[in-house]
This record gives sequence, structure tokens and C-alpha cells, in this order.
Amino acid sequence: MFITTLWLSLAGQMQPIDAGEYRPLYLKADTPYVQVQSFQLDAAPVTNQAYFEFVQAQTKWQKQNVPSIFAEHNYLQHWLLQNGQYQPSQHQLNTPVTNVSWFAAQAYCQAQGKVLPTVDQWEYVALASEHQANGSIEGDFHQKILAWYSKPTPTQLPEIMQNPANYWGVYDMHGLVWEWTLDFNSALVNGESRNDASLDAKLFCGAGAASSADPKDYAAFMRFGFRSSLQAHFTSSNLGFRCAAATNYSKD
Amino acid sequence: MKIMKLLNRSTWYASLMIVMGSLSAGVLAQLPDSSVYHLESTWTDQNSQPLKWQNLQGKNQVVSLIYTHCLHTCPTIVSTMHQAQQKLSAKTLANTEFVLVSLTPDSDTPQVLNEFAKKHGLDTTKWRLLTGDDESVRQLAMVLQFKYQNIPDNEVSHSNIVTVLNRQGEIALQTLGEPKRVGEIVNILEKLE
Repeated sequence: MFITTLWLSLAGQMQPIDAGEYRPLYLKADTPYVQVQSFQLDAAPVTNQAYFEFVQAQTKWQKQNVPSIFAEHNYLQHWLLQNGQYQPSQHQLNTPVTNVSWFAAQAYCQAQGKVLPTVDQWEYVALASEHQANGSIEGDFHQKILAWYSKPTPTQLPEIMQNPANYWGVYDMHGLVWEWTLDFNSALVNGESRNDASLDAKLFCGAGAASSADPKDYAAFMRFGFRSSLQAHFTSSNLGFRCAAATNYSKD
Repeated sequence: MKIMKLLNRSTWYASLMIVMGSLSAGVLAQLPDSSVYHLESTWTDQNSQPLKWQNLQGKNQVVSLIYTHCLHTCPTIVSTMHQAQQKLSAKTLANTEFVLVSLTPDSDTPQVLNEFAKKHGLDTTKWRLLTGDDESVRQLAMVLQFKYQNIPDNEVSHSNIVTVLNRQGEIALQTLGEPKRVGEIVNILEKLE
């Protein structure tokens, strides 16, 4: 009982993340590491229960009220209509909310004075193993992550925080769901998905900043590929989110 | 005769309702599902006046995202939109407006945007130059599927897209902001109501 209560109270908690640097995937060999300022990150992905509380407070985000430009038809499709309201079932309460669009995720974070983490923030925290801020120096780190990527998404998602936290005290960065990031659409592989993929100064200001790659971290490649396939109104049964905030953020 | 009168009266009431509806917040409820004007963010124009996207209903809008100190693509985008404006028929021009949204809102203050408009000879009765907060810019970019990334020295690498929105804020056309696309932009604007 105690453990359950502790675990539920941890679910909405944030963990402080120290400033540091990391090497993003798409970077020229001679450009420096990206500096990440200190910030806070939700200890776990947002659950169905937390998201349900949100849509009860902000009814415009209820399934029947959201315009298609903000979320496609499958938005919250795993919730059932009960007593005139779409809601998660009992066994979905502590599982990560999925089938939410970027707009919905952003609105949820905004409602709490938080924001979605940037790609840099997310990747920086995702780099940590259980014991080290930079897990990639552990031999089997990438292998473990890839092992999850190769498994199909289960019909019933596991509950959050079932596996050990990483170095920062953050759970489920890998192994549960994919997650939205604030600027997932910033990678300029294609200027715009319906056009050709040339990256030159005619099409982009500063195009040179986004080329070349380090192929070692194949898992990051997969995330990169997945992100660039997304559009902000998309929803998917294995795509959820968590929120970030500045270091001085505190919930009152 | 009586029926006609009744009918006239109900028609009159119906149109009154429509007029009242479009003057009130009820407008939002009537927006098409796919309208960009569902965005609720508030922006500031070059005259420091606040503006919401739904205020732009009623005219077709030619929209792009730029920043004023950008040297490569942005001048071409602006010039493409400007050329399109000059090629429109008088009737279409009366129903068309132009919007530039800043990708570097911190440095593109209303004053800077105003200067930019003057420097490029943009008629500010037709052109709006908007600045907002970072989250609003990101949200707008998401709706328009416009990609950008802040890079050092307050520069931004970004897509080069011009979007045409119809009177209700639905995307009528997206094309590259380069001179050879001017005809495409003019054509769609001439076709739109």
C-alpha cells in the first residue's frame, strides 16, 4: 500500500536535471557538442489518469470537441464512451496516455505551467543509464534500447515506473512509449514533406548546421526517423509525452 | 401572402442571427474543422496592436514565417509575396491580405517590423507583420507544417514555404517562396472567393 502511494505521488513529480552537453545525431564532425541548460523533467510519462483530469478541466480537449487541425480522428481512441464521456478504463489509469497529438500534449503541459521538452533536453536525459549520465560508455546500453525498439507494442501498455529509474531519477525514457518533443519538427531533412530533399542555402537559412551524422547510435537514428515522419496532429497508440519546466518551477 | 410574410420574416431573423453570430465569439464554433484560425494565441502587429488569427477571417491571407535580419531565403520569400500582390486583379487584391510572422520574436519587436515593412515598401494597410511568444510561433509552425530550428547567433534554419489561407483560415495552397511560384499564388487567389 505504501509503495503504491509513493509510486503514484512520484508519477507527477519532476526531477532536476543538471546542465551538461551531449552530441546530437545530426551534427557536423567539427561542430561542438550541444549545451543543455539545467531544467526539470517529469519523472514519468503522463498517465491516462492525469490526462483524464486535464480534459475534465479543459473540456475543449475532450475527444468530441477537438477540431481535426489539432488532433486526428484517432485521438484518445482507446478511451471508452461511458455516461456520455470518453474515459480510460480502470486498468489504463496508470499506463502512459497515448493517442494524443502534439497540440494536445502541449496544451496539457501549458495548463500546468510546463512545456514539452526539446529534442535536445529529451535526448540528453535519454542518454543516461541507470548509473551514469552518459550511458553510451556502457557496452550494452544501445543494445538494450534497440531490443525494445524491435518488440511490437503490446495491446495493453504496461504501467509506468515498472523498471529502474535512470541516473537522473527519471523513468521510462526507453522501453514504454515514444514521446513527443517540443521541436520534433525542427530537423530539416526535407524542407517540407511534399517537396524534394535538397538542403541548400536557397531553401534554408543556415542549412549547413544540420548535416552529417554519427551512425554509432542507431537507436537515436530511429528516433530521428520517427520524429521526422510525424505531423503535429498525428496520434499513435505508442506515442505519449511528458513535460519539462525551468529549474525554478514549483507546483503550488 | 401571409405565408410569404412569415417566410420573409424568418429569413430576416436567420440572417440577423448569422450577422450577430459572426460579430460574437460564436464565430469560432462556425470555423471549419481544418481551419488554422482555431489557434488561440495572441500576437502583436507592427503597430503594437494585439491580434488573434480569427480576426483575419473574411479575407484570403498569404502567410509566411521569416525573420528580419535573415539574409538568404527570407528576402526572396517576401519578394515572392510582394510580386504576387502586384499581379493580382483589383477585385482579388481587395479580398487579399499578407502576413509575415517573425521566427525571432525577441529581436523582431513591432518597431523593427515596422522598419522592415518600410524598407521593403510593404503597404501596411495590406501587410501585417506579427511577433509573438516562442510557444505561439512553434504552434503556428506546427499547424502550417513549417519546420525550423534555432541555431547560434539568433539565426534560424527554416522551411521556405508560402501558405495561402482562404477566408475561413483553411489552407488553400502551400508552395515554395521563390519567384517562379508567383503565378501559382496569383492563380489560387484569383480562384478563391
